Amino acid sequence: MHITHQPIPVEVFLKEKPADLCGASVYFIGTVRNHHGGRFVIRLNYECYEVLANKEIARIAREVQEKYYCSTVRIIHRVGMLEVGEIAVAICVSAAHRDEAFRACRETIERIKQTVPIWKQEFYQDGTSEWVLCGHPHEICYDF
Amino acid sequence: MIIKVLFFAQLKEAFKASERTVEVQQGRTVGECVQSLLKDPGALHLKGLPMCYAVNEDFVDENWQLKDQDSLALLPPVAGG
Repeated sequence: MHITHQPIPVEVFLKEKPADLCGASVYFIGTVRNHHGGRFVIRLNYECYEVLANKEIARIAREVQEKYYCSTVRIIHRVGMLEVGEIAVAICVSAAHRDEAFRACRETIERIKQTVPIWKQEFYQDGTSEWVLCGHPHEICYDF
Repeated sequence: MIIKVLFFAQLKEAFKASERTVEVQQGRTVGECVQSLLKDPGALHLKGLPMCYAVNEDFVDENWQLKDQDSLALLPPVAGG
C-alpha cells in the first residue's frame, strides 16, 4: 500500500538495500512548507480516495519502472493533518545509472501531483483555509 | 436504480457529506447524474469547477452509463505531493 495515515518512517525507507545491478538511487522527500502564494501556511490536510489513490500510485510506479528500466520505484504518501516540516511524500528510485534514476524520480513526483486522487487543504495563519487546485486525474475534464 | 455518490475535498464540504445514496433513472450517464446533483443549493458555487469521475474505483468519462448499485466518485482537481 502506498497511502499511510501515519508519519512516514523515512529512515527505514533509506536503509533498504537496492538491487546489486543498481548503481544509483534517487530519493525525493516532500515536506510541508510554511508558505504558498504569499500566504503563511500553518498546516495541511491531505484527503484522498484511498482505494483509487493506491491503484493510481501503483500504476505510476509500474509505468515509470518500465520506461526507465528501474529496478525499484517505491512511493509512500501520507494523508491526514500534517504540520509544517513533516514529510508528506517519499519516493525512492533505483536504477543502473544516475541519469535514469534522476529522470524517473522527477517523473514520478510530477505524475503523483497531476493524477493521484489526493487533495490538499491549506490552513493559513489568518485563520482561513483553502483547497489547492493542481492537476486532474484524467486528461478530459468536464465543466458544469 | 440506486447509486452511491462519493464526495471529496470541497465537494464534501458543499454537500456536507462524504457520500450520498441517490435514485437515478435507468440509463442515466455520469454527466447527467452530476448535472442533477449540482443543482443542490449548497453546490451552486462549484459551477465551473473541473471534475473527473470514477465508477466502482476506476476512472470513467462523463458518458459512462451508470448501473444499479454503482459507486460514483466525483473528483475535483487533485493536489498530492
